[in-house]
Amino acid sequence: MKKITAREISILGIMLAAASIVFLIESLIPPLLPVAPYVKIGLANVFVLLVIIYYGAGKAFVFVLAKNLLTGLISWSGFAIVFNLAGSMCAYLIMAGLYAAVFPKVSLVSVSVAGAILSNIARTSVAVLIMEAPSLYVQLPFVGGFSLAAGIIVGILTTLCVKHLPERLTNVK
Amino acid sequence: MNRDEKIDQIKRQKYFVWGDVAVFAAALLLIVFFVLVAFLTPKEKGDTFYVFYRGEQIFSALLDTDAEYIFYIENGEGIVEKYNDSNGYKSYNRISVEGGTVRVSGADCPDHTCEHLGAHSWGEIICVPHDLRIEIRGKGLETDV
Repeated sequence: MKKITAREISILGIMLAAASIVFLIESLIPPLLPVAPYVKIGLANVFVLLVIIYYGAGKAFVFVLAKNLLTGLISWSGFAIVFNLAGSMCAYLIMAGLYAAVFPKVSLVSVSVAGAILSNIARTSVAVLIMEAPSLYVQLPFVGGFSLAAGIIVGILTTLCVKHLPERLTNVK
Repeated sequence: MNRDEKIDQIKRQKYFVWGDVAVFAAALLLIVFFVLVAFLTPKEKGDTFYVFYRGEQIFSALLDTDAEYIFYIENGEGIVEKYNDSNGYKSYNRISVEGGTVRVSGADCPDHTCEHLGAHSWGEIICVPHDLRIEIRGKGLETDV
């Protein structure tokens, strides 16, 4: 990882704050999928994707860990931290991997869709493991369909940000 | 392709490209696989529900009679009894049995996930904050617990 500049730290700090606020607002919204209430759109993944794009996978890994630590400290709840950490780490791994390996053969929307699906499968798996309730896997068709839609939303929002954000906000040099 | 070239590519690229077809096809195949697994999973209606606290079975009752029960935690122990509105319960889940189904109709846990899971006649209902699991079993799914 290259030496990080003061400008990079300040931009990453602002993005971390924004991602945490979006995450906390999203957690206040009642479950959009009542049969599997622990799955979510994951709007904060817009910021994770932006960090992957502008700063690279290494800094994005630290960003994801910091976001989970920060949101975990604010909404202190042990089980929620496990759900969110599993979901966001899986989303990060697949998104960083696909972006490095197959972009631009696939669009950011596809990268985001893969992240959303894996993230919500991970969250369902955590629920199954914690509660020893394998029947929860029956919810996966709904979880998969919901994640597909959520990934498209996050992917389009991220693409819009890259296309339209002023360069003075995104130029890290 | 370096980072700046990829950013330029995103700016020029449309929202969807032909390569997305492969990713969306894989996603749809995965969903179809999940649907098949869900359909192939035995879903025989249960006749009894079992309440587990911290992995230990603490209560069971038949689903053929409509009733209301209360699960609450007292001195680290999970207790289930008939619901009595006059008691001020803490760390509780109200369990309602109606028409052969069971659901959590009220709880003071922080996320109320168990309530959103709705009424079930098979499978499980979980409340992670209270470490509570309600399992519904029928004759076809009977095991030696």
